[in-house]
Amino acid sequence: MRKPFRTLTLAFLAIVLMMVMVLAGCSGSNQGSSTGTEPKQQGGGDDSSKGERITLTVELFDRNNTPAGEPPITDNFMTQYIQENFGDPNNIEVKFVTVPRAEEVDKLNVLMASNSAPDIIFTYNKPTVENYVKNGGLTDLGPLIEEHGPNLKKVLEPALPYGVFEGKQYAIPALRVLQAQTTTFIRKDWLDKLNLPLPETTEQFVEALRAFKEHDPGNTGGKVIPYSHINLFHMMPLVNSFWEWDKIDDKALYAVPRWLQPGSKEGFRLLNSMYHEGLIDPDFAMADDFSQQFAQQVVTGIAGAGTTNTNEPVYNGYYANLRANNPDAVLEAIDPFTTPDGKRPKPMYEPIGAYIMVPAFSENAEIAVKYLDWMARPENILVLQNGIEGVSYTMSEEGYPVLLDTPEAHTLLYNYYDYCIILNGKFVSPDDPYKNIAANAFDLEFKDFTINSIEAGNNDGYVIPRVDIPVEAEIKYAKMLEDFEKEMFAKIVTAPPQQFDQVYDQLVDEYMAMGGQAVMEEKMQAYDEFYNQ
Amino acid sequence: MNSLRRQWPLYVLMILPMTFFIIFKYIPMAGVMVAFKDYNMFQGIWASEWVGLDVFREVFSMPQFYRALRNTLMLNFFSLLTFPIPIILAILLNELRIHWYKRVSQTLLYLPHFISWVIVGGMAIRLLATHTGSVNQFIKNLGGNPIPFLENEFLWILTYTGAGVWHYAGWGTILYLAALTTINKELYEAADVDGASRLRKIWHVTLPGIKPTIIVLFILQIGRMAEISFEQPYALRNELVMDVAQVISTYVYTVGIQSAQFSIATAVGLFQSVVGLILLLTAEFLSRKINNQGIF
Repeated sequence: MRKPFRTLTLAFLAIVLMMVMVLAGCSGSNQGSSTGTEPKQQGGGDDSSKGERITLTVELFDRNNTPAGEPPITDNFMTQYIQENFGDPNNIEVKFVTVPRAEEVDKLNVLMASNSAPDIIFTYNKPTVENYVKNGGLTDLGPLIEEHGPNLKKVLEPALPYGVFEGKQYAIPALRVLQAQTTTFIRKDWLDKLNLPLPETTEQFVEALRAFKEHDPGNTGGKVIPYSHINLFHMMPLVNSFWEWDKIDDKALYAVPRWLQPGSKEGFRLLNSMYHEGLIDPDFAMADDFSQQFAQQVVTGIAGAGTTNTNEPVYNGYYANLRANNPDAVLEAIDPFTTPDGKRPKPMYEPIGAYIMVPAFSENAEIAVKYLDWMARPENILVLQNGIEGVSYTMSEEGYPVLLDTPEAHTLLYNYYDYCIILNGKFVSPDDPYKNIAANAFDLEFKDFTINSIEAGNNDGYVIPRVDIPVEAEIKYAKMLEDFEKEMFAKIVTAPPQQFDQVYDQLVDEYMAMGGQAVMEEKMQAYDEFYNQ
Repeated sequence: MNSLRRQWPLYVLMILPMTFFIIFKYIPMAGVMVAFKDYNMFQGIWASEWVGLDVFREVFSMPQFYRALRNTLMLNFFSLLTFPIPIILAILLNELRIHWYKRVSQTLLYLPHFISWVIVGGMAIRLLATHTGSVNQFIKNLGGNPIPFLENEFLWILTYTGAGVWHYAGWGTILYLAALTTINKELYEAADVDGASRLRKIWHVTLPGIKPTIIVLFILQIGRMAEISFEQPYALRNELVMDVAQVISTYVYTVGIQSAQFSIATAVGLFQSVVGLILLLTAEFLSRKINNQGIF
């Protein structure tokens, strides 16, 4: 009887010992990675620091769009190019840390609060940057750029002022080559079948949608969604065409919430009636941010029209997929949303993309700036944005890269924009805007579509005035207000028509009460302060 | 002392779980300090400034907080109504006489427990979306009107509760099934001798046999009324039903993680724990009054 018990005890002890060792192992390796830049003890002597490889960690968006069978985004042609041409010569290990695209702010906040963020981080969200600045979490990159960033300064010249907060260069904003934000497109082959012209006004556009619904020119068996990709961001051109622009000055444009701008309500009323008429995607409120739902609707040929990021059907590849499914399909960029006096106002981006930052606790700020400067050299921009000459692109006679329409090109470049983070859009040269636009029309098959899209997206566009004084209330409430705006949008568009005004006014009141009012008042002050200095 | 010498391996074995609880459950409790500080995430907890109850004052002035609190209690109340379902399932399983049939149904009932809420959320949209969901397509083909399972607030609550039952009920039977095996077989035999029917036996032998288990689980569930899982509401909600779907856990996520207002999020979490503790103690107290048995 005793013997089995003793064996059991021994077995238990062995397990306990093993777990303790595993735990010790874990903590040991954690320590190793967090202080990876420090020389290891075992070498001894001074020379160990000279030979030590430094690890530079860089944030990388994971858009969950890697084609099946392709290498992971942390180890593919682009990362290898970076490692071989920047990392190895400088004895640096460049390591990419992925962050899901739709959760970039959440994930970044957690990484920052736990002091485990990569050396190079970025976000599109300005309040998040201001929050880090306010709490002293960022490295002042000004002096480092002066010393180590000549290429960076040259390429990013128009963008750099946007990265100055409280007088210091806490962020390096990526240069946005094209400022167009959204463009509407429509299935031209459907219009042709129905003998309809390309819509030039809002009424014509709605008429075309009605015809799509009624006659189902795509033979979808009743599944047709005349107008899709319905969300607040992409509905702004439509809503803006109802604004009474003569009553809106720059200060109001900057400070007043879109829901309160004169005329705004009528824009949403049109969307509401389109919803009840069955002209827009009835389940639009179910789609997550950045979901591929709309792309699927286009590819399967059930979407008739949509407003997307400018040129998205080309750069995300779903126009090409649609054509593969249906060679007769034609998308055409249009610009139908018109004010009574014939203007087509729509929001455009500031000349910047994501804010690139280095956390204050990073020990590799200098290397980070050197990395970005290396990236700003023309030869590296060319490779990181276009891949390999002869495989994924050729050089045109005028000196800009033209993409090849090959499977190799597609697999090489499906997420190229996530590596060359200092640029948003294809870039050839700071001195030649034409080359830059031409380079962005990179897919020859769709060159006209791209150029038309960019033109339509720029037409009568406006940029929100710049004020670089951080707005406290905005830092605090921006995310909650942004979430609530999505909720408002869904409820307002789906409200029963007879209750539309009531729902709209009530939601706007709630919005103002939960922080909208505070943000508006502080923004008014900040505007006066900034422009009256 | 004697027992220590004799049973030392057992005490040694306890060290690991104790270490786990101290490191992962007790030490982090010090973090609630954040609720009383103007927390700066780069300076850390100690260096941030004390602000007393300012954070709580701010929380209690937020309309969104009351909405989240109300929804948490409401959704949990609906879930509490489904409390008897695992008991009924367990008794039904217990009454099954064909062995393989019982095994198969048990396994099928457990399976949903292992499916992540994220997947359940995706399935809910595919099945229940008003215009494109399969269930509504089916209803439409039969000539009916689509039912807005996910868009109407009341129907959403039912969908939420139903998904919860689907997910948890089978798994919840495990404890009851275990309790059922402890019932003395002789009681059933005696009841047979007295000529009791099946239903009578369930009522007079089975149910009293698992009563203590039912009470303990009920008290625990009451104690959890103020807390709510993050995944279930987050995966099932959409913009149209936020008025009933924004709960404390998702609110803390929005405020704390997404807006980096860690002090406010911590204060909300602390408040939730205090309410939970009060509810738990009340349930325990009532149970002792009524049944003369509780859990502590």
